[in-house]
Amino acid sequence: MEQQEIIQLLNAIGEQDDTVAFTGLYKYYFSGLVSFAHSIVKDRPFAEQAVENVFVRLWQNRKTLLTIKNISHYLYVSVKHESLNFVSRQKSIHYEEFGDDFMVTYSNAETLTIGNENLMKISFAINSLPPRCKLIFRLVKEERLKYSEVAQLLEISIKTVEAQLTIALEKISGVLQITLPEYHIYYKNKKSIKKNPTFKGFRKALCLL
Amino acid sequence: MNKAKLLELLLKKKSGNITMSEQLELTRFLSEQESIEIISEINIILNTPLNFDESVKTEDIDSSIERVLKKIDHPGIRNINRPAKVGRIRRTISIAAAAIVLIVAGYYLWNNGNEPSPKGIASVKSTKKGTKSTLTLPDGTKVWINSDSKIIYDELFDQSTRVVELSGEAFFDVAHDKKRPFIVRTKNIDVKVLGTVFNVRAYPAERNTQATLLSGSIEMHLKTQKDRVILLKPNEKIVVKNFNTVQKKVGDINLEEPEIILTKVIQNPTDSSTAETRWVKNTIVFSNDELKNIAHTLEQWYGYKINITDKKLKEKRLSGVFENKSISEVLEALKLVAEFDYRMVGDTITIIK
Repeated sequence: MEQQEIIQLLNAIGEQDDTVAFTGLYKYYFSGLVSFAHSIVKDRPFAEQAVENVFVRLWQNRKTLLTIKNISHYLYVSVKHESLNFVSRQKSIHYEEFGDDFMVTYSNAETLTIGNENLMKISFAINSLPPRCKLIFRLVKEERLKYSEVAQLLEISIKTVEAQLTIALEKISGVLQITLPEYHIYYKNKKSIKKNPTFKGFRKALCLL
Repeated sequence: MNKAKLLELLLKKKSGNITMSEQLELTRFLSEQESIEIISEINIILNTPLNFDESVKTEDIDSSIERVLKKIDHPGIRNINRPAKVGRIRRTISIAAAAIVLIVAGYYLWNNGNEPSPKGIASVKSTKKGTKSTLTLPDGTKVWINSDSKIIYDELFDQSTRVVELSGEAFFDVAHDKKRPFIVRTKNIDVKVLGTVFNVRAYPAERNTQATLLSGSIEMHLKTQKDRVILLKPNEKIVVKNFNTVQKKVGDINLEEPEIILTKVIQNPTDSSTAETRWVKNTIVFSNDELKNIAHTLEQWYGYKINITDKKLKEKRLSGVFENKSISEVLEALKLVAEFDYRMVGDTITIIK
């Protein structure tokens, strides 16, 4: 979903009490949030309940919805706190445990067929990432969180976010270098990439994808 | 453009902060590239959302949302009167608005043919210029209705046939029913099918009526030659000259056009989509079309009135694909290629040299 569409949904929820838009927003974020909550509470029904509680509150406070600058960040932070409430009574949580518990894929019936092959390979590469690395990649790529927001959410440093993204990049570029010769050329001259700031920037761009 | 600049533009595009001139710069740069594989790959990844395939099932989401809706469903909440399907449909088509008018009994728009007209309670679904809509008929057939179009059908389809009348353009995914053929009637042609996927374009103002078949088979009946039946195979398209415009166009250079043209549909090799049906996915495709025809399509698509003053400009041929673009984005892009200028006053656009 485009950023603009999300804003439209938020407008409809906030201004017109639109339950259809609310359902749309819910469906869009559900999977990602449940996966995130699951990595904290380690229990699927609890994870879903945490997400549900957050959305019930979001509806109750819908009049103030439009003042939220980054809804993705808001939702992830809310789900985190909600999930921590579930586990706080049981044990203390190690932040290293934040991760992505579910398999993700890029495959999509509407996607171009040529692209699909690469997308499947890339999804495979993403799924083989360590859970935390995968989560960070997804938060940046999919939920459009800033490095600083991811760092704050997972209580790690921005440097760690960057490092984790580099790992993700290495995996994905491994896929791309086979299928995309142009990238392969940059990849082969890895040394010059490091020296050359523009190529470095290019790698960073892939990191953000 | 150097790599850093390209990177900057791609990132801006990703974060949604790209300005129109930057978008155009990016588009122009990409179009100049011979090897743009990596760029197109990046674009695909940019535009493809990650799915949680096996781990989260649709039923999970549905039952969860149900629980949430129950919790928030106290008397203070007003239920808005939008169709519940919107969320699902939005994936395929963004609907701006749909005017649904119910007309009771015996509505005849066109007075012709041997086939029975819809009787009983006729339903009319129409779209204004610049809007599109979808519809599921009583038999389960799905219809995507392009802008400025109208569909009339019988609420309770006949025992023996399923008849809809179409003015404008629609894409049909017909539910299979051997016993009841599905008939699309337009001013110039009737299309008879059993269960297929096809597109019919029959705007009264246009010179041609077109039918494009994607799967299955369809039978075409011409209103002018009642005994003539043309069978269409998958990926074939038929263009029939509208009889009401033939006389009017005397003196027109296109007079020698044959009345019926049967062609193969050109499929996009990458996604096997066709130009004829791209509108269903909110994509406008021009392929070597004259600017005056492009203007006509844009008028329907966006609901603006477009005037072209220069005669040479009118006949300038252009190609392009626009996905989810605003009218100004399209015009800005066309302007660069066709070297024209335009003014937008209210809902009228004037294209000048």
